Amino acid sequence: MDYLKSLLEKASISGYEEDLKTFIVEKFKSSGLQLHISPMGNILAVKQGTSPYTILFDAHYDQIGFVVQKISPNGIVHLKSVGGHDPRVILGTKLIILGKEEVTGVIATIPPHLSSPDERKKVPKIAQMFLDTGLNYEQLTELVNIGDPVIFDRKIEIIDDYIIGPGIDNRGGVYTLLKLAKWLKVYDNTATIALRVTIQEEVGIRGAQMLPALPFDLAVVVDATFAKQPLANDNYTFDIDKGPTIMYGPNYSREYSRRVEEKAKLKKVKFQREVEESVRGTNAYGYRTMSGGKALIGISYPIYNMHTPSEIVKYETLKETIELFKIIVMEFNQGSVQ
Amino acid sequence: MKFALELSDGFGPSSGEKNIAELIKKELSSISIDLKRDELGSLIVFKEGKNIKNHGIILSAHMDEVGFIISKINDDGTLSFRKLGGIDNRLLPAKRVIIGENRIKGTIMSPPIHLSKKSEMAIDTEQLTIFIGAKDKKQALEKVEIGDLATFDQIAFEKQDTLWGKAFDDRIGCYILTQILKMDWDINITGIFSVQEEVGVRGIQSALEYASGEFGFAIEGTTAYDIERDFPEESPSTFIGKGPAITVVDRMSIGTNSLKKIVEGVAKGNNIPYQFKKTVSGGTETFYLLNQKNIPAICISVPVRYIHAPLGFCKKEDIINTIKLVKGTAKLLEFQMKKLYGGK
Repeated sequence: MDYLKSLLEKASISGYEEDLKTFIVEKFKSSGLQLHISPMGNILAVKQGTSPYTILFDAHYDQIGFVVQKISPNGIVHLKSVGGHDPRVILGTKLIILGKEEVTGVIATIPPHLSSPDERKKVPKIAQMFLDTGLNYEQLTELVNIGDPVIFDRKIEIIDDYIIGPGIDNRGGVYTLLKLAKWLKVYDNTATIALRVTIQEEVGIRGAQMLPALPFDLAVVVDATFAKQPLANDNYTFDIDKGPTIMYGPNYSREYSRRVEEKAKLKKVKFQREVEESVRGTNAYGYRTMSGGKALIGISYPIYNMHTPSEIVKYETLKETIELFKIIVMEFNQGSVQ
Repeated sequence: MKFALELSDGFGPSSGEKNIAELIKKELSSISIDLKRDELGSLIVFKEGKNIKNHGIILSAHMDEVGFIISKINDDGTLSFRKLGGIDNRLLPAKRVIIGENRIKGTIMSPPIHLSKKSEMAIDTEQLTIFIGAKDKKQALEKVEIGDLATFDQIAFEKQDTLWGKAFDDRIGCYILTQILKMDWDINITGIFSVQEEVGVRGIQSALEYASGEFGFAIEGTTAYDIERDFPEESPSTFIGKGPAITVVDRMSIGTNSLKKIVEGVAKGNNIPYQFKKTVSGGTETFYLLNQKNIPAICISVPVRYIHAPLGFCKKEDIINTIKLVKGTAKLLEFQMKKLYGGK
């Protein structure tokens, strides 16, 4: 879990993924995979097989965050969102500006002594919030510039089997691919196995759609999904401790998913079924539409509090996700279903 | 000012201030004082005057911080809670907390924005729960119990000319009191480190039974929200960096005018920057110093940006100047008392 913790401590907001990129590249290198890094930051790690059949695994490695939009004369920093934020979790939150140096600050909160009950009912838009670093304009502009990325405080907590922190979506998925790479080192594959770690999903599935990806026959997309929790519509949520979900719906290849389920049952790997009908959402859509209709499997791990500084995942679920990956590799190592 | 940070990191939601009292006792262990904790838990520190034994001043600061009390342990292993003190509901979702004597780490749950309607509306505390890693009630009961108290989980830190932490209202006052108590005094100094201020200024009432003095000062960390506009000419309350704030009038009381003049005179005479707090909202312990003890009393505060919130900060220079102002005023009163009551 320390490995996962150090991964989660890296910054990787969409468009500013360098910090985590370095970490991922190092890990892939030590697994002895062939590496191709696109100028934009998509990372492709390949273990060549003997057959032309290619299985491509994908995880996006960007996280949601902010960029500095404006610095006011009184030293207050105004932010623009990167990715889909929930304004309800931002007030009073500690943030870090990645300027020339790291500059910590907090989103200003009006004390209840000075606000009216009506005012306290409504959450302001992020554009109307103030990031306060305690520095004045001169001090701040020495260190910070317009466009600098801003991340949630790296507050990673391990409680029993749970990991809590920002950006588990989808760096939990990145973790599973890095672990899969380690396993591939000793696995005698016939099919070519490609692991693709992609940028800018949180701002609209951009990284996955950037060409060239390796031509593939089967893509496996891993991402976070919603865990069952109070106030979240039960129709879209999954138990946090009943394993990863296997996706069904227009983006996914039903026959392939079924075969994974059968094997998972035999090997006693827990899983749940999830349905996703939307065209938005995850990289699955990106691959499905750009691949000329190649096969696609989606695997998701349920997390609590998605897109907040306190996302929560069960470590066991990530391990089970890796088990499902291994099943997929072994099952399709010799080619496709038909 | 390391001790100010240590105090902020202490665990002291209203009615659970024991940890703070212990920190203060340790800090004062090297000086000669009489200590008493009353039934509610307030710490009353009496430092006898070197010269004049029957006269002196009372200083008060409250040890408690806003926080939470666990009200129910749910079947799914999460905890329901109520607030202790005034906390804006909008600050709660996805924040980390520390619960109970075992300092259990918790996270306030927050439904994903993707599945939320009306995401511009604050979620009511009644609907929020705390996750502690328990999967059912039985597991949760191994870690916590109903009635356990909680605070925000935030480590204090120093950054350039500012101090950051979760509880400067009113640990900054506690810090200042300890510094004053450590100085040499010819008159009696009674420091009251009170409990339960945030839930209705309760602790000071019982603590005052054990204190006596001719003048009273409540020392606070107070509201500064001097950021609303692009240019800092306007503040609804106080400004950080502009010195201690003197409260002329708050929701409960009016600071004694004669004492206000003395404080102001000391500030001017010693070139200590000062300001008047503009808002009338919020009550302080000044009320009980006035009404229960019938002595002139006033509140002097360090402006803090973002009190009653998970993380706030104040300026070191404001702390230093507040200490200077309180010390200078007390020294002037000491001088007067010596003249009146015939000390050396």
